[in-house]
Amino acid sequence: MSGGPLERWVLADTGCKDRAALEAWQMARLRETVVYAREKSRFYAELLRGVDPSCLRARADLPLLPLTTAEQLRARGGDWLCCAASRVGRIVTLKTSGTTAEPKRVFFTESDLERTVDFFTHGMRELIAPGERVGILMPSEQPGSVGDLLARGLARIPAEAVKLGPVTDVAATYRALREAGCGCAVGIPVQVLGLACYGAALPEPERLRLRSVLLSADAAHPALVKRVGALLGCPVFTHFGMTELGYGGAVECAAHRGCHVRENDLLVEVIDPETGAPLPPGQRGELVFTTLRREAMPFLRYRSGDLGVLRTERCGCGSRLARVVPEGGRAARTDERLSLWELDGAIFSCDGAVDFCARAEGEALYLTVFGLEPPDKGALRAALLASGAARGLRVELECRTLRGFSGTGMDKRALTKGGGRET
Amino acid sequence: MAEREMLCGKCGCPLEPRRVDFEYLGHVFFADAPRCPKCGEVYLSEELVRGRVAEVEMELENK
Repeated sequence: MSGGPLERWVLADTGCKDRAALEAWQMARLRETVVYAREKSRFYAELLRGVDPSCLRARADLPLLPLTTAEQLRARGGDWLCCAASRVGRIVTLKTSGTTAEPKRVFFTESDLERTVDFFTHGMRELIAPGERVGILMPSEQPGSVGDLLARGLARIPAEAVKLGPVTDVAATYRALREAGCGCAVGIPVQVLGLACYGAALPEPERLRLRSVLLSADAAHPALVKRVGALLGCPVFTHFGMTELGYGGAVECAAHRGCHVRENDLLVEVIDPETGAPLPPGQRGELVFTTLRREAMPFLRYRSGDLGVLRTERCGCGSRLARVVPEGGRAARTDERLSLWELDGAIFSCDGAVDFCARAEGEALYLTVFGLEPPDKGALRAALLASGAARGLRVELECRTLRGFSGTGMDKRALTKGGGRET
Repeated sequence: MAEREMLCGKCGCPLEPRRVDFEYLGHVFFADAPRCPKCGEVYLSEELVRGRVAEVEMELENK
């Protein structure tokens, strides 16, 4: 195996020399995790009753373990805990916006957080060089926040973190990145797109000179990635992660053919979202994750709710680490007729479109598209028609000026349903 | 029924309601809770912990 910084780290960390050894190593950690979780956690004691860990020898044995879900985490998160409360270093609460559903609470020990920091250090080496200055456009003030952990990881490269937080004022953030001399920015896809649109309208001497951008926290459709890259004039990398996984999951390399998984900490599968049956690499389905060394709260065959493809052949960068290619958006649809992913593809391909909200009601799709100036309605209608993303619904289209992004921007975007919003 | 007086287990003193400051994730918030006037120990009721404290914790525990 001879890939980039992430693969070298994974191999060094596990002591494995090749793919076969890595997979055997993963199964050994999985057997240990099953024993540990069953012994320490009330939830897992019940869930894993009857499971014989010694039968978990190869990936084909994974279906011997039941799948776990966000609903179970919401309902019984405290019972998933595998350590004393005094060992918990950080809790992250994830509320589902627009609903009164119980939040998900994810618990981490300091050791769990350290593994995330380590991943960030080596994962970011796929896109930046030592000495780079990185603008972090994600929550970073709180200790143990994603931005704080990223800053800690960057410091070890070493690279300097400029913590700017999520974008609320596009112009101000753009200026701050430029004045800080940032060569890389890490941010939420629609927010970075907003910055990119803003910068492209400035005279050349006033523009940012970014060498790379990393998009994270929400799905980044290829149409959005392409526009960001064209507008900023730099390579765009994507990161796939979830709070449940310790934020960091998988990051793209310079080959841009999917995100390499940190396989020393995670085991990834793809399942049919309807039946739960395992799917082979190359086939799109729901991404399912198992953590291999978590102390506070292991996740076993946890359904992410995100669709994607798993690739296991050697990457163009030389790495044999598995890659996830997020594709298709969320597995569960707010409205069966519509796909947020398809709407992303149509809308983000249009110049000027930065963000949108959409809901289906009866036979109509109510769509509001935001830009730094109201985007062109004709182009949007044509894109929707050509792509079929509106699925034959009558489109009631409004275009408005973006007034900033709501909240922290860390909620994954979702289609609204009537007056509410589901994710 | 009148609320029973609470006594500090160490000092034997009746606890008095006081403003108590809590620090979490770099933020400070407060709530009223019974406190020993002698040694300063605070009694945190289940209602307080599962109510106001939990509410504030979860608000602060965003990403």
